[in-house]
Amino acid sequence: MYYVITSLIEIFIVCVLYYLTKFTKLNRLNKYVVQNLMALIMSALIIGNMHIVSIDYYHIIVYPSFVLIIAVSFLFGPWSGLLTGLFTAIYRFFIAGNIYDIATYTQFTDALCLFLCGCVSAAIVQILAKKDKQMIIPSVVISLTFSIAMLFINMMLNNGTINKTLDSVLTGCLGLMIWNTVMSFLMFFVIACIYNVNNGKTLSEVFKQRGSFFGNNIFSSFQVATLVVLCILFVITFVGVRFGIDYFVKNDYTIEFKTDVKSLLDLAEKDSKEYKTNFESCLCTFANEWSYQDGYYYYITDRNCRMLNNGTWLGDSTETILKSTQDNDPEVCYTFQNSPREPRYLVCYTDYKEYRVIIVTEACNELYTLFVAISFSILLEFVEFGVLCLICYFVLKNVVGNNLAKINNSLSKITRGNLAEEVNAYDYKEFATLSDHINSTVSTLKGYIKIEANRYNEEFELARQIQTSGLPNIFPPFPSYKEIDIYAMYQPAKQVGGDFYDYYFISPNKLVMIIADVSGKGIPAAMFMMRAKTALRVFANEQQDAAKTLEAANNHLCENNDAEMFVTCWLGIVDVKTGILQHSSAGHNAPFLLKPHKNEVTELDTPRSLVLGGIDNVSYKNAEYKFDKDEKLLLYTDGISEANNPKLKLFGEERIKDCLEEHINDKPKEICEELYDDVYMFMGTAEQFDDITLLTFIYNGEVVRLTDGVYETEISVKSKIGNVTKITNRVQSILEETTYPEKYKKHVSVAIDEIYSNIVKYGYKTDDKYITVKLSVNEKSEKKTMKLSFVDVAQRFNPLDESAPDTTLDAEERQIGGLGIFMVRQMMDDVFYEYENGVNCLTIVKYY
Amino acid sequence: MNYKLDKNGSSLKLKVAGRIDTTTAPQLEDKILSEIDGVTNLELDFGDLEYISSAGLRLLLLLQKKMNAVDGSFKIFNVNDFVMEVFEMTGFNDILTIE
Repeated sequence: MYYVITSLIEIFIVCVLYYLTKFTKLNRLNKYVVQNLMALIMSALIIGNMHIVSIDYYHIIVYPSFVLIIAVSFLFGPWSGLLTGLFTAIYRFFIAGNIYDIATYTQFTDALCLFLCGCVSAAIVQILAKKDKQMIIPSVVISLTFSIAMLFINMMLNNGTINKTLDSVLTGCLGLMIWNTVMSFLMFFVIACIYNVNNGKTLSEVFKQRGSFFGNNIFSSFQVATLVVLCILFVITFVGVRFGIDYFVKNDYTIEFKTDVKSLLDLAEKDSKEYKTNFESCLCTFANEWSYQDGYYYYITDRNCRMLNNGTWLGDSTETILKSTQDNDPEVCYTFQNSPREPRYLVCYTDYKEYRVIIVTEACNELYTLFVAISFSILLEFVEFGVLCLICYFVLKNVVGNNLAKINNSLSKITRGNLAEEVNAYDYKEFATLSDHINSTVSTLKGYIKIEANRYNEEFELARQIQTSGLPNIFPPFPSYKEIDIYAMYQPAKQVGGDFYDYYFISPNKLVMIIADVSGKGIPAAMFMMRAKTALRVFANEQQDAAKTLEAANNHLCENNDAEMFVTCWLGIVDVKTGILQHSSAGHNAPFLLKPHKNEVTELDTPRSLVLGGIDNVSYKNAEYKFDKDEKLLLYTDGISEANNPKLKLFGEERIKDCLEEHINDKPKEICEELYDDVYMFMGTAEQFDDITLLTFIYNGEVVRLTDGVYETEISVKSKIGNVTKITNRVQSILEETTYPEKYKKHVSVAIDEIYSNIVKYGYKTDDKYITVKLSVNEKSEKKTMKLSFVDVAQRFNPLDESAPDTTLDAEERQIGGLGIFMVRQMMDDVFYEYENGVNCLTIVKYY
Repeated sequence: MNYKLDKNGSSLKLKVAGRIDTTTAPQLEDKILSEIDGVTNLELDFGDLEYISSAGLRLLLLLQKKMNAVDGSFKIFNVNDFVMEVFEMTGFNDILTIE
C-alpha cells in the first residue's frame, strides 16, 4: 500500500519539477544543467524508493522506476533519461545489493533493466521528438516492456522453470499493465494541465522535445565527456566484477585460506596433545567455534565429504558444497554457486590425514568488500570528475559564456543601428579591455557619421539658400502697374527641392509668369533649377512668345544634361494692358482660373507638351485667354496636390478647388495664405515631402482713372494695322468725357494713325508684337493738357530725326516718306521722343 | 469707310465717306487702280470724308501721277475744313486740283 503512496508522491514531485523548470524563472537555466539536475533528483527518488518499503515480489508490480525514467526522458530531455537510468543502475548494481539486504541475484537484472530503460527512452524521445509524434503511447509501451521483462527474469531466477515463471508473470501482468498505464497517463495529464493553464497548448504539443544529445556549445561537450567516461568506467567495473572474481579468487584468497586451515589444524593438534583428547573432536570443536566468525564457516569431513562436525550453517546447500570439493583441487580457492538465486560461495579445502578441512565463505563478503571499495572509489572518481566538470562549466559559463553573450548581444544591437548601445562586460580584465576597445570604436564611428551628416546638412543649407534667394519675393512686385498684382509663396521641403516661380517683364506691358518643378532633390536639382530659371529668362526676352520660349529653353537644357534631369514648367505671358494671356506648358499641371464675377473656378486649359530637358526638338503650343476684370490665376506645383496626411491620403485637386471657391473674392495674398493654411492643417503631423510653391496673379483690368479732371488710360494692342481703330476709339471715348475741343479730335485720330502705322510698318514689321498707347488728360492744371504716348520695343528709332519733307515739290518729285510725322508735328503742340531700356516712346502733347 | 464708284467710259467718279487712313487706304487704292485703266477723267467727292492721313495722301499722289501720265484730269470736290487744313499743311493743295 505504501508503495502506491510513494509512487504517487514521486509523480507529483516530477510534475512540480517540470512546472518549475518550464514556467518559472528557472527556465533560464542552461538546459543541460537542468537535465543533469533532474537526472540526479530522479535517481535519488528511485533509489529512495528501493529502501523505503521492503520489496516483496508483489510490489514489483507497482515498481515506479521505469515510469519515472521514461517520464524524465520525455519531460526534461533524452539526456536526463539516459543519466537517470545510468545512475540508478550503478547504484542498484554496486551499492544496493552489497551494503543492504536486497537480494543480490536481482541486482544484475534490475541494473541492466534500469540502464536499458534509460537508453531506450532517450533514443525514443530523440527519434520521436524530431518527428513531432505523440509520446504517451510509446512511453506506456516501454515501461510495460521493461516491467514485464524484469518480472519475467526475476521469476525465472526464482523458480527455475519456464512454466511456473509464465504462471507468475501472467498473474502479475494485468496488474502491471493497469498500474503502468494509470501512472503514465496520470503524469502526462498533470503535465498537460500545467501547460494548458500556462500556454493553452494541446496535449500532443506538450511532449515535443527539441533537445539533442550534442549541442554545439562548449558545455555540451563537457556532458558528452562525462557520460563517455562514466559509461567506460561502468562497463569496466561491471565486466571486472562479473568476470574478474575467479581471477582474484584464484590468486589472493587462496593464500589466506591456506593459512587459516593450517592454523586450525595446528591448534587442534596442540590441544589434543595437551588435553589428551581425541584429535577429531578437538578439530570439530574448534571448527564449530570458529564458524560464524567473520562470516567464515569451517567444515570437517572425511575423504568422502561426509560431515563430521555439526555445521548446518549453509542450510540445504551444505551437502552440495561439501561434495563440490571432490571436483576441485585442494588448497586452491574456487567459487561455488548452487543456483543463481543462491549466494555465491568461496570454497577452499585441505586434506590432512584422513580428514578434510573445508572453509566456506560468501563471495561478496570477501571479494565484494574489496570490489565495493574499488567501485566506491571509482564512483567517487565520477563524483570528483563531475564536480570538476561543474566547476569548469560554471566558471567558463560566467567568465567566457556570459561575457561573450553580453558582448554579442550589444554588438548585435549596434549592428541593427542602435549606436547608443555600450558594451558592458567589465567583470574580468580581458573583457574589460575588449569592451573598452569596442566602445571607443563605436564612438569614433559615430563621430565620423556626425561629421558627414553635418557636412551633408551644411551643403543642403547652402543649396537651399542659393535656391531661395533666386526667387523674387518682394510684394507687391510692380507697384506702378496697377493692372495686375502678384503674390507668391515658397515653402521648401526638408530636403532641398527644385520648385521655383519667376515673374518679370519682357516688354513694357508683357509680364512673364513661370512656375516650375525640377525633378529630384538635393544639390543637383538646385543647380538644374538655376540653369532652367536663367534659360527661361533669356529665351523669354528673346522669343517674346510662350511656346517658343519653352522650345528654346528645352533645347538649351537638353545640352549637357548628363544628370538626366528635367523640369516641368508652366509659362504664361500676359499683356497687362489687354489682359490677354498667352500660355504654354511643359508637362506642368494646369493652373486654376478664378472668375469672381461668374463665381466660377475652373482649370485653365494650357496645351501641355513634354517636360523640359527630356529630349530636344520638342514643339510646344500656345493658347490664349483674355482675362476679364478681377479674374485670378493660381499657379501651383504638385507639392500641394500630393501633400499627404498621416493616413497617407492626398490633398488632391478637389480640395484646392474648394479652397479657391471659398476665397474667390479675396486678394492674391489672402488666397495664397488660405490655401497654404489648408494644406498645412491637412498635413498634420505628417512630414512635408515636396516643396510647396504657390503664385496667385490677379488682373485688375485696364485702369481708367476719372478723378477730378485727370484722365488716364492705357491700351495695348497687337501690331496689326487694323488695331489702330481700337486705339482711336478708346482715345476718342475718353476724350468725349473731357472738354477737349472737337476741332482737335480729328488731329488726334490722324496723329494716332500716322504714328501707329509708322511703328507697324517700319518698327515691328510683324503683327504679333504689342504697341502700348498711354493717354493722359489733365484738366486740373492752368493749361489743359492732352498727352499721348506711343510705346514700342522695336529697334531704336527716333522719327523726329528724319528731315521734314519738302512740301513745295510737285507731284512727280514728291516723296511720301516722313509726311506722317510732319503732319503730326504740325498738328500737335509738342512732340518728343525717349528711349529707355529697349523701349521707344514717342509722346505728343496738345494744350487747350 | 465706304465709297460709291461711278465709271462712265473714261470718266471715273468716286464718292468716299468716312476716313482714308492707314486701314482704309489700301482697300480704296485697290478699287481705284482696278478701274483706272483708260480713265482720263477722275473725280473724287470728299463731301462725307471726315479726315485723311498720310496713307490717303499717298494714294492721292499716286492718282495724280497717274493722271498726269495720261494727261488726264484729277479733281477733288467738297473737301471739309480739316481735310483742307491737311492739304494746306502738307502742300498738297498745290499738287492736287481741289474744288
